[in-house]
Amino acid sequence: MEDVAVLDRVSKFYKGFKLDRISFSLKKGFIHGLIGRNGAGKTTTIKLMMDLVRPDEGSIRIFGLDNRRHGKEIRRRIGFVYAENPFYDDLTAENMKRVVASFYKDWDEGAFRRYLKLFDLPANKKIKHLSKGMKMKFSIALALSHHADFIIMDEPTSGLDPVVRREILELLSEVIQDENKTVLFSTHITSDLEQVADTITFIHDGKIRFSLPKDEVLERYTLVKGGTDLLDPDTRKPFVGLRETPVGFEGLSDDPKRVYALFGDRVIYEKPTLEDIMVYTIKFGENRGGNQGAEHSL
Amino acid sequence: MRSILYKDLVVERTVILIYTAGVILFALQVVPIFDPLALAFCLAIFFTFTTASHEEMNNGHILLNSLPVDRKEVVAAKYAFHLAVGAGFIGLDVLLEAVTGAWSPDLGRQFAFAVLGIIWFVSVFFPLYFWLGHRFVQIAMIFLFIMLVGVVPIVFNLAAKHDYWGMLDAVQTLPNSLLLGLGAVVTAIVFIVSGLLSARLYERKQF
Repeated sequence: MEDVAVLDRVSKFYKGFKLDRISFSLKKGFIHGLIGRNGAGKTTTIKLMMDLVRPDEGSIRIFGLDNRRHGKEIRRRIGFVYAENPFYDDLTAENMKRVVASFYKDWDEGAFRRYLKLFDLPANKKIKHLSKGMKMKFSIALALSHHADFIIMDEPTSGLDPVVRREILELLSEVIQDENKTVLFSTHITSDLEQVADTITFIHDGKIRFSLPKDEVLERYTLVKGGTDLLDPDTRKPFVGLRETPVGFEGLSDDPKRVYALFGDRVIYEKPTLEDIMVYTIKFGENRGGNQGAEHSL
Repeated sequence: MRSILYKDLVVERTVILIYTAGVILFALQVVPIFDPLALAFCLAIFFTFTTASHEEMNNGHILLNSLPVDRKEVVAAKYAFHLAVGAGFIGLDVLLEAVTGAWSPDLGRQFAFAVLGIIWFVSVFFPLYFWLGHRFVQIAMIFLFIMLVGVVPIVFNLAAKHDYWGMLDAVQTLPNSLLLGLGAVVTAIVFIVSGLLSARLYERKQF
Protein backbone atom coordinates (compact mmCIF):
# COMPACT_ATOMS: atom_id res chain seq x y z
CA MET A 1 0.00 0.00 0.00
CA GLU A 2 1.28 3.41 -0.98
CA ASP A 3 2.26 5.90 1.71
CA VAL A 4 0.80 9.38 1.26
CA ALA A 5 2.72 10.90 4.16
CA VAL A 6 5.72 9.68 6.10
CA LEU A 7 7.02 11.47 9.19
CA ASP A 8 10.40 10.20 10.25
CA ARG A 9 11.74 11.10 13.72
CA VAL A 10 10.37 14.62 13.53
CA SER A 11 11.08 16.92 16.47
CA LYS A 12 10.00 20.44 17.18
CA PHE A 13 11.01 22.35 20.28
CA TYR A 14 9.07 25.22 21.78
CA LYS A 15 9.46 26.82 25.18
CA GLY A 16 7.61 24.44 27.50
CA PHE A 17 6.67 21.94 24.79
CA LYS A 18 8.50 19.42 22.69
CA LEU A 19 7.32 17.25 19.83
CA ASP A 20 9.69 14.38 20.39
CA ARG A 21 11.01 12.38 17.41
CA ILE A 22 7.59 11.37 16.14
CA SER A 23 7.32 8.82 13.36
CA PHE A 24 4.23 7.54 11.58
CA SER A 25 2.96 7.00 8.07
CA LEU A 26 -0.43 7.47 6.43
CA LYS A 27 -1.58 4.99 3.79
CA LYS A 28 -3.42 6.02 0.68
CA GLY A 29 -7.19 5.51 0.55
CA PHE A 30 -7.96 5.64 4.28
CA ILE A 31 -9.30 8.00 6.90
CA HIS A 32 -6.60 8.48 9.49
CA GLY A 33 -7.48 9.85 12.90
CA LEU A 34 -5.04 11.86 14.98
CA ILE A 35 -6.15 11.97 18.59
CA GLY A 36 -4.80 13.60 21.72
CA ARG A 37 -5.81 16.16 24.29
CA ASN A 38 -5.56 19.90 23.61
CA GLY A 39 -1.90 20.88 23.52
CA ALA A 40 -0.68 17.32 22.88
CA GLY A 41 0.94 18.31 19.58
CA LYS A 42 -1.76 17.57 16.97
CA THR A 43 -1.83 21.04 15.43
CA THR A 44 1.98 21.30 15.52
CA THR A 45 2.18 17.97 13.67
CA ILE A 46 -0.25 19.21 11.03
CA LYS A 47 1.54 22.56 10.71
CA LEU A 48 4.80 20.66 10.20
CA MET A 49 3.19 18.63 7.43
CA MET A 50 1.88 21.81 5.80
CA ASP A 51 5.34 23.42 6.13
CA LEU A 52 3.86 26.25 8.18
CA VAL A 53 6.45 25.46 10.85
CA ARG A 54 9.85 23.89 10.32
CA PRO A 55 11.09 20.78 12.14
CA ASP A 56 14.21 20.97 14.29
CA GLU A 57 14.98 17.34 13.45
CA GLY A 58 13.71 14.64 11.13
CA SER A 59 12.08 14.61 7.72
CA ILE A 60 8.58 14.74 6.29
CA ARG A 61 7.69 13.27 2.92
CA ILE A 62 4.30 13.75 1.32
CA PHE A 63 3.39 12.03 -1.96
CA GLY A 64 6.99 10.77 -1.83
CA LEU A 65 8.38 14.32 -1.95
CA ASP A 66 10.29 16.31 0.66
CA ASN A 67 7.70 18.74 2.04
CA ARG A 68 10.12 21.68 2.27
CA ARG A 69 11.65 21.41 -1.17
CA HIS A 70 8.39 20.65 -2.96
CA GLY A 71 5.96 22.58 -0.77
CA LYS A 72 4.11 24.30 -3.58
CA GLU A 73 3.64 21.12 -5.59
CA ILE A 74 2.50 19.21 -2.50
CA ARG A 75 0.04 21.87 -1.30
CA ARG A 76 -1.57 21.92 -4.74
CA ARG A 77 -2.72 18.35 -4.00
CA ILE A 78 -3.79 19.03 -0.40
CA GLY A 79 -7.15 20.28 0.82
CA PHE A 80 -6.58 21.91 4.19
CA VAL A 81 -9.26 22.57 6.79
CA TYR A 82 -8.02 24.90 9.49
CA ALA A 83 -8.64 24.68 13.23
CA GLU A 84 -9.08 28.48 13.42
CA ASN A 85 -10.86 30.60 10.84
CA PRO A 86 -8.11 31.90 8.50
CA PHE A 87 -10.43 33.76 6.15
CA TYR A 88 -10.78 37.51 5.75
CA ASP A 89 -13.76 38.54 7.87
CA ASP A 90 -14.78 41.44 5.62
CA LEU A 91 -15.00 39.37 2.44
CA THR A 92 -18.15 37.57 1.37
CA ALA A 93 -17.97 33.79 1.05
CA GLU A 94 -18.17 34.25 -2.73
CA ASN A 95 -15.20 36.64 -2.85
CA MET A 96 -13.18 34.47 -0.49
CA LYS A 97 -13.88 31.53 -2.78
CA ARG A 98 -12.69 33.57 -5.80
CA VAL A 99 -9.43 34.30 -4.01
CA VAL A 100 -8.80 30.67 -3.02
CA ALA A 101 -9.94 29.28 -6.41
CA SER A 102 -7.41 31.46 -8.24
CA PHE A 103 -4.58 29.40 -6.69
CA TYR A 104 -5.79 26.05 -8.09
CA LYS A 105 -5.64 24.96 -11.72
CA ASP A 106 -8.05 22.09 -10.97
CA TRP A 107 -10.68 24.23 -9.28
CA ASP A 108 -14.12 22.66 -9.79
CA GLU A 109 -16.76 25.37 -9.59
CA GLY A 110 -19.56 22.83 -10.03
CA ALA A 111 -18.34 20.83 -7.04
CA PHE A 112 -18.10 24.00 -4.94
CA ARG A 113 -21.68 24.98 -5.83
CA ARG A 114 -22.85 21.48 -4.87
CA TYR A 115 -21.17 21.75 -1.46
CA LEU A 116 -22.65 25.23 -0.91
CA LYS A 117 -26.08 23.78 -1.59
CA LEU A 118 -25.46 20.66 0.50
CA PHE A 119 -24.31 22.72 3.47
CA ASP A 120 -26.91 25.44 2.87
CA LEU A 121 -24.22 28.14 2.85
CA PRO A 122 -25.08 31.71 1.79
CA ALA A 123 -22.48 32.83 -0.78
CA ASN A 124 -23.21 36.54 -0.35
CA LYS A 125 -22.83 36.69 3.40
CA LYS A 126 -19.63 38.13 4.84
CA ILE A 127 -17.37 35.63 6.59
CA LYS A 128 -17.76 37.52 9.87
CA HIS A 129 -21.51 36.96 9.75
CA LEU A 130 -21.23 33.18 9.37
CA SER A 131 -21.60 30.98 12.45
CA LYS A 132 -18.70 28.78 13.59
CA GLY A 133 -20.34 25.74 12.00
CA MET A 134 -20.89 27.60 8.72
CA LYS A 135 -17.27 28.77 8.63
CA MET A 136 -16.12 25.20 9.13
CA LYS A 137 -18.45 23.93 6.38
CA PHE A 138 -17.19 26.69 4.09
CA SER A 139 -13.60 25.69 4.83
CA ILE A 140 -14.46 22.06 4.02
CA ALA A 141 -16.24 23.08 0.79
CA LEU A 142 -13.10 24.95 -0.33
CA ALA A 143 -10.83 22.05 0.62
CA LEU A 144 -12.92 19.57 -1.37
CA SER A 145 -13.44 21.66 -4.51
CA HIS A 146 -10.05 21.32 -6.18
CA HIS A 147 -9.84 17.53 -6.38
CA ALA A 148 -7.25 17.26 -3.61
CA ASP A 149 -5.68 13.82 -3.15
CA PHE A 150 -4.99 14.38 0.53
CA ILE A 151 -7.40 16.19 2.85
CA ILE A 152 -5.96 17.40 6.14
CA MET A 153 -8.51 18.53 8.71
CA ASP A 154 -7.39 20.09 11.96
CA GLU A 155 -10.15 19.74 14.58
CA PRO A 156 -12.97 20.17 12.04
CA THR A 157 -15.70 19.11 14.45
CA SER A 158 -14.51 20.97 17.52
CA GLY A 159 -17.20 23.23 18.98
CA LEU A 160 -19.85 22.17 16.46
CA ASP A 161 -23.31 20.86 17.24
CA PRO A 162 -24.01 17.13 16.73
CA VAL A 163 -26.03 17.69 13.54
CA VAL A 164 -23.23 19.58 11.79
CA ARG A 165 -20.68 17.06 13.07
CA ARG A 166 -22.72 14.21 11.64
CA GLU A 167 -23.01 16.00 8.27
CA ILE A 168 -19.24 16.46 8.14
CA LEU A 169 -18.56 12.83 9.05
CA GLU A 170 -21.02 11.57 6.43
CA LEU A 171 -19.36 13.76 3.82
CA LEU A 172 -15.95 12.37 4.74
CA SER A 173 -17.24 8.84 4.33
CA GLU A 174 -18.45 9.79 0.85
CA VAL A 175 -15.14 11.43 -0.06
CA ILE A 176 -13.18 8.34 0.88
CA GLN A 177 -15.25 6.22 -1.50
CA ASP A 178 -12.72 7.44 -4.04
CA GLU A 179 -9.84 5.14 -3.15
CA ASN A 180 -7.30 7.64 -4.41
CA LYS A 181 -8.16 10.07 -1.64
CA THR A 182 -6.71 10.08 1.84
CA VAL A 183 -7.96 11.97 4.89
CA LEU A 184 -6.13 12.99 8.05
CA PHE A 185 -8.58 14.09 10.73
CA SER A 186 -7.32 15.48 14.01
CA THR A 187 -9.66 15.72 16.95
CA HIS A 188 -10.04 15.29 20.67
CA ILE A 189 -13.64 14.12 20.12
CA THR A 190 -12.83 10.44 19.80
CA SER A 191 -16.41 9.32 19.13
CA ASP A 192 -16.19 11.04 15.73
CA LEU A 193 -13.26 8.85 14.77
CA GLU A 194 -14.94 5.69 16.00
CA GLN A 195 -17.52 6.28 13.28
CA VAL A 196 -15.25 6.99 10.34
CA ALA A 197 -11.55 6.37 10.94
CA ASP A 198 -9.60 3.41 9.61
CA THR A 199 -6.44 4.07 11.60
CA ILE A 200 -5.73 5.94 14.82
CA THR A 201 -2.58 7.78 15.79
CA PHE A 202 -2.54 8.78 19.45
CA ILE A 203 -0.27 11.62 20.43
CA HIS A 204 0.37 12.56 24.05
CA ASP A 205 2.88 14.99 25.53
CA GLY A 206 4.55 15.36 22.14
CA LYS A 207 5.07 11.63 21.68
CA ILE A 208 3.27 9.09 19.53
CA ARG A 209 1.74 6.48 21.85
CA PHE A 210 0.48 4.32 19.00
CA SER A 211 -0.33 4.47 15.32
CA LEU A 212 -2.47 1.46 14.44
CA PRO A 213 -5.57 0.32 12.51
CA LYS A 214 -8.62 1.23 14.58
CA ASP A 215 -9.79 -2.38 15.01
CA GLU A 216 -6.35 -3.39 16.23
CA VAL A 217 -6.35 -0.55 18.74
CA LEU A 218 -9.66 -1.70 20.17
CA GLU A 219 -8.49 -5.33 20.28
CA ARG A 220 -5.13 -4.49 21.81
CA TYR A 221 -6.63 -2.82 24.84
CA THR A 222 -8.93 -4.19 27.51
CA LEU A 223 -10.77 -2.43 30.29
CA VAL A 224 -10.72 -4.32 33.57
CA LYS A 225 -13.07 -3.75 36.51
CA GLY A 226 -12.68 -5.42 39.88
CA GLY A 227 -12.22 -5.06 43.61
CA THR A 228 -9.28 -3.16 45.08
CA ASP A 229 -8.32 -6.20 47.18
CA LEU A 230 -6.98 -7.73 43.94
CA LEU A 231 -4.42 -4.98 43.46
CA ASP A 232 -0.84 -5.32 44.61
CA PRO A 233 2.45 -4.05 43.10
CA ASP A 234 2.58 -7.02 40.67
CA THR A 235 -1.03 -6.90 39.49
CA ARG A 236 -0.81 -3.14 38.93
CA LYS A 237 2.04 -3.50 36.44
CA PRO A 238 0.14 -4.45 33.24
CA PHE A 239 -2.09 -1.36 33.43
CA VAL A 240 -1.55 1.66 31.23
CA GLY A 241 -3.91 3.63 33.46
CA LEU A 242 -5.62 2.75 36.70
CA ARG A 243 -8.50 4.43 38.51
CA GLU A 244 -9.15 3.39 42.07
CA THR A 245 -12.21 4.20 44.16
CA PRO A 246 -13.22 2.99 47.64
CA VAL A 247 -15.42 0.33 46.03
CA GLY A 248 -13.09 -1.00 43.34
CA PHE A 249 -10.79 -0.27 40.44
CA GLU A 250 -11.00 0.24 36.72
CA GLY A 251 -7.87 -0.18 34.69
CA LEU A 252 -6.83 -0.09 31.06
CA SER A 253 -4.27 -2.59 29.89
CA ASP A 254 -2.57 -3.14 26.54
CA ASP A 255 -1.66 -6.70 27.53
CA PRO A 256 -4.98 -8.61 27.80
CA LYS A 257 -3.32 -12.06 28.04
CA ARG A 258 -1.19 -11.08 31.01
CA VAL A 259 -4.16 -9.44 32.72
CA TYR A 260 -6.27 -12.58 32.24
CA ALA A 261 -3.44 -14.72 33.61
CA LEU A 262 -3.29 -12.51 36.69
CA PHE A 263 -6.98 -12.02 37.40
CA GLY A 264 -8.78 -14.87 35.66
CA ASP A 265 -12.55 -14.68 36.15
CA ARG A 266 -12.36 -12.55 39.29
CA VAL A 267 -12.78 -9.31 37.30
CA ILE A 268 -14.98 -7.98 34.50
CA TYR A 269 -13.43 -7.39 31.07
CA GLU A 270 -14.85 -4.78 28.70
CA LYS A 271 -13.91 -3.47 25.28
CA PRO A 272 -12.68 0.10 25.75
CA THR A 273 -13.72 2.99 23.55
CA LEU A 274 -11.11 5.34 22.09
CA GLU A 275 -12.15 7.81 24.74
CA ASP A 276 -11.39 5.23 27.48
CA ILE A 277 -7.97 4.64 25.95
CA MET A 278 -7.25 8.36 25.81
CA VAL A 279 -8.59 9.15 29.30
CA TYR A 280 -6.93 6.22 31.07
CA THR A 281 -3.62 6.88 29.34
CA ILE A 282 -3.64 10.59 30.06
CA LYS A 283 -5.55 11.01 33.30
CA PHE A 284 -4.95 7.77 35.15
CA GLY A 285 -1.68 6.84 33.53
CA GLU A 286 0.48 9.70 34.78
CA ASN A 287 3.49 8.62 36.83
CA ARG A 288 2.79 4.94 36.18
CA GLY A 289 5.44 2.42 35.26
CA GLY A 290 4.63 -0.82 33.47
CA ASN A 291 3.50 -0.46 29.89
CA GLN A 292 2.78 3.23 30.11
CA GLY A 293 4.44 5.12 27.32
CA ALA A 294 5.06 2.10 25.12
CA GLU A 295 5.01 3.04 21.44
CA HIS A 296 3.35 0.97 18.75
CA SER A 297 3.24 1.73 15.10
CA LEU A 298 1.68 0.54 11.89
CA MET B 1 2.36 35.34 -8.17
CA ARG B 2 -0.66 36.53 -10.15
CA SER B 3 -2.97 34.79 -7.66
CA ILE B 4 -1.26 36.49 -4.71
CA LEU B 5 -1.64 39.89 -6.36
CA TYR B 6 -5.28 39.12 -7.12
CA LYS B 7 -5.80 38.12 -3.47
CA ASP B 8 -4.28 41.38 -2.24
CA LEU B 9 -6.39 43.39 -4.66
CA VAL B 10 -9.65 41.68 -3.62
CA VAL B 11 -8.84 41.88 0.10
CA GLU B 12 -7.65 45.50 0.06
CA ARG B 13 -9.90 47.00 -2.59
CA THR B 14 -12.05 48.92 -0.10
CA VAL B 15 -8.97 50.49 1.49
CA ILE B 16 -7.58 51.30 -1.96
CA LEU B 17 -10.86 53.01 -2.93
CA ILE B 18 -10.94 55.07 0.28
CA TYR B 19 -7.32 56.18 -0.13
CA THR B 20 -7.90 56.92 -3.83
CA ALA B 21 -10.84 59.14 -2.89
CA GLY B 22 -8.51 60.95 -0.46
CA VAL B 23 -5.88 61.47 -3.17
CA ILE B 24 -8.53 62.86 -5.55
CA LEU B 25 -10.01 65.23 -2.95
CA PHE B 26 -6.61 66.63 -2.05
CA ALA B 27 -5.32 66.83 -5.64
CA LEU B 28 -8.44 68.71 -6.78
CA GLN B 29 -8.11 70.98 -3.74
CA VAL B 30 -11.64 70.05 -2.60
CA VAL B 31 -9.83 69.75 0.69
CA PRO B 32 -7.24 72.55 0.38
CA ILE B 33 -3.76 71.42 1.23
CA PHE B 34 -0.28 72.90 0.73
CA ASP B 35 1.31 69.90 -1.04
CA PRO B 36 -1.08 67.22 -2.38
CA LEU B 37 1.82 65.16 -3.75
CA ALA B 38 3.42 64.90 -0.32
CA LEU B 39 0.07 63.80 1.04
CA ALA B 40 -0.30 61.14 -1.68
CA PHE B 41 3.14 59.91 -0.67
CA CYS B 42 2.07 59.73 3.00
CA LEU B 43 -1.12 57.86 2.03
CA ALA B 44 0.98 55.31 0.13
CA ILE B 45 3.04 54.73 3.27
CA PHE B 46 -0.03 54.46 5.48
CA PHE B 47 -1.57 52.02 3.02
CA THR B 48 1.34 49.64 3.51
CA PHE B 49 0.98 49.86 7.27
CA THR B 50 -2.79 49.37 7.10
CA THR B 51 -2.58 46.29 4.91
CA ALA B 52 0.19 44.75 7.04
CA SER B 53 -1.95 45.24 10.11
CA HIS B 54 -4.94 43.77 8.24
CA GLU B 55 -2.92 40.66 7.30
CA GLU B 56 -1.85 40.10 10.90
CA MET B 57 -5.40 40.53 12.21
CA ASN B 58 -6.82 37.98 9.76
CA ASN B 59 -4.01 35.39 10.01
CA GLY B 60 -3.42 36.11 6.33
CA HIS B 61 0.00 34.49 6.34
CA ILE B 62 -1.41 31.16 7.54
CA LEU B 63 -4.00 31.14 4.78
CA LEU B 64 -1.53 32.17 2.11
CA ASN B 65 1.16 29.69 3.09
CA SER B 66 -1.23 26.77 3.19
CA LEU B 67 -2.11 27.46 -0.46
CA PRO B 68 0.12 26.34 -3.34
CA VAL B 69 2.59 29.21 -3.20
CA ASP B 70 6.31 29.59 -2.95
CA ARG B 71 7.54 31.88 -0.17
CA LYS B 72 9.75 33.79 -2.59
CA GLU B 73 6.66 34.49 -4.69
CA VAL B 74 4.86 35.85 -1.62
CA VAL B 75 7.70 38.29 -0.97
CA ALA B 76 7.94 39.35 -4.62
CA ALA B 77 4.19 39.89 -4.76
CA LYS B 78 4.22 42.02 -1.59
CA TYR B 79 6.87 44.32 -3.07
CA ALA B 80 5.14 44.50 -6.45
CA PHE B 81 1.70 45.20 -4.98
CA HIS B 82 2.81 47.97 -2.64
CA LEU B 83 5.02 49.63 -5.24
CA ALA B 84 2.18 49.55 -7.76
CA VAL B 85 -0.37 50.99 -5.33
CA GLY B 86 2.09 53.63 -4.03
CA ALA B 87 3.12 54.69 -7.54
CA GLY B 88 -0.58 54.65 -8.46
CA PHE B 89 -1.50 57.15 -5.72
CA ILE B 90 1.40 59.43 -6.65
CA GLY B 91 0.72 59.09 -10.38
CA LEU B 92 -2.98 59.86 -9.90
CA ASP B 93 -2.13 62.99 -7.95
CA VAL B 94 0.32 64.21 -10.61
CA LEU B 95 -2.20 63.48 -13.36
CA LEU B 96 -4.97 65.39 -11.60
CA GLU B 97 -2.69 68.30 -10.82
CA ALA B 98 -1.72 68.43 -14.48
CA VAL B 99 -5.35 68.27 -15.63
CA THR B 100 -6.45 71.04 -13.27
CA GLY B 101 -3.58 73.28 -14.34
CA ALA B 102 -1.74 73.09 -11.08
CA TRP B 103 1.21 71.59 -12.92
CA SER B 104 4.52 73.21 -12.15
CA PRO B 105 7.71 72.51 -14.13
CA ASP B 106 9.14 70.87 -11.05
CA LEU B 107 6.23 68.40 -10.67
CA GLY B 108 7.81 65.80 -12.94
CA ARG B 109 10.96 65.86 -10.85
CA GLN B 110 8.92 65.67 -7.65
CA PHE B 111 6.99 62.69 -9.05
CA ALA B 112 10.22 60.84 -9.82
CA PHE B 113 11.56 61.50 -6.35
CA ALA B 114 8.26 60.49 -4.73
CA VAL B 115 8.39 57.15 -6.56
CA LEU B 116 12.00 56.68 -5.50
CA GLY B 117 10.87 57.50 -1.96
CA ILE B 118 8.21 54.77 -2.11
CA ILE B 119 10.82 52.27 -3.30
CA TRP B 120 13.05 53.25 -0.38
CA PHE B 121 10.15 52.95 2.02
CA VAL B 122 9.14 49.41 0.95
CA SER B 123 12.82 48.44 0.92
CA VAL B 124 13.11 49.35 4.58
CA PHE B 125 9.59 48.32 5.64
CA PHE B 126 9.41 44.73 4.42
CA PRO B 127 12.63 43.30 5.85
CA LEU B 128 11.70 44.79 9.24
CA TYR B 129 8.11 43.54 8.94
CA PHE B 130 9.16 40.01 7.99
CA TRP B 131 11.69 40.01 10.81
CA LEU B 132 9.62 41.51 13.63
CA GLY B 133 6.02 40.90 12.48
CA HIS B 134 3.06 42.66 14.04
CA ARG B 135 5.14 44.22 16.86
CA PHE B 136 6.99 46.20 14.22
CA VAL B 137 3.75 47.34 12.59
CA GLN B 138 2.32 48.54 15.91
CA ILE B 139 5.45 50.35 17.07
CA ALA B 140 6.31 51.78 13.66
CA MET B 141 2.78 53.16 13.17
CA ILE B 142 2.97 55.04 16.48
CA PHE B 143 6.50 56.21 15.63
CA LEU B 144 5.42 57.36 12.17
CA PHE B 145 2.42 59.22 13.57
CA ILE B 146 4.58 61.05 16.13
CA MET B 147 7.13 61.89 13.43
CA LEU B 148 4.55 63.23 10.99
CA VAL B 149 2.54 65.19 13.53
CA GLY B 150 5.21 66.29 15.97
CA VAL B 151 8.73 66.13 14.57
CA VAL B 152 8.54 66.65 10.79
CA PRO B 153 6.71 70.04 10.88
CA ILE B 154 9.23 71.38 13.42
CA VAL B 155 12.24 70.17 11.42
CA PHE B 156 10.68 71.43 8.19
CA ASN B 157 10.06 74.93 9.63
CA LEU B 158 13.51 75.02 11.15
CA ALA B 159 15.08 73.97 7.83
CA ALA B 160 13.05 76.54 5.89
CA LYS B 161 14.11 79.25 8.35
CA HIS B 162 17.78 78.41 7.74
CA ASP B 163 17.31 78.04 3.99
CA TYR B 164 17.84 74.28 4.30
CA TRP B 165 21.41 74.98 5.38
CA GLY B 166 22.33 75.40 1.71
CA MET B 167 21.63 71.73 0.94
CA LEU B 168 18.61 72.43 -1.27
CA ASP B 169 20.57 74.89 -3.42
CA ALA B 170 23.40 72.40 -3.75
CA VAL B 171 21.02 69.67 -4.90
CA GLN B 172 19.10 71.98 -7.24
CA THR B 173 22.28 73.03 -9.01
CA LEU B 174 22.87 69.43 -10.02
CA PRO B 175 21.42 68.45 -13.41
CA ASN B 176 18.15 66.53 -13.18
CA SER B 177 19.50 63.62 -15.17
CA LEU B 178 22.55 63.20 -12.95
CA LEU B 179 20.54 63.48 -9.77
CA LEU B 180 17.87 61.06 -10.91
CA GLY B 181 20.41 58.67 -12.39
CA LEU B 182 22.40 58.59 -9.18
CA GLY B 183 19.21 58.23 -7.13
CA ALA B 184 17.98 55.43 -9.38
CA VAL B 185 21.22 53.44 -9.12
CA VAL B 186 21.44 53.71 -5.33
CA THR B 187 17.72 52.93 -5.00
CA ALA B 188 18.04 49.87 -7.27
CA ILE B 189 20.88 48.51 -5.13
CA VAL B 190 18.95 49.09 -1.90
CA PHE B 191 15.83 47.54 -3.44
CA ILE B 192 17.61 44.37 -4.61
CA VAL B 193 19.39 43.88 -1.26
CA SER B 194 16.09 44.45 0.55
CA GLY B 195 14.29 41.90 -1.65
CA LEU B 196 16.95 39.24 -1.05
CA LEU B 197 16.95 39.91 2.69
CA SER B 198 13.12 39.77 2.87
CA ALA B 199 13.04 36.49 0.95
CA ARG B 200 15.57 35.00 3.37
CA LEU B 201 13.66 36.22 6.42
CA TYR B 202 10.29 35.03 5.10
CA GLU B 203 11.71 31.59 4.22
CA ARG B 204 12.60 31.17 7.90
CA LYS B 205 9.28 32.43 9.22
CA GLN B 206 6.97 30.02 11.05
CA PHE B 207 3.21 30.41 11.34
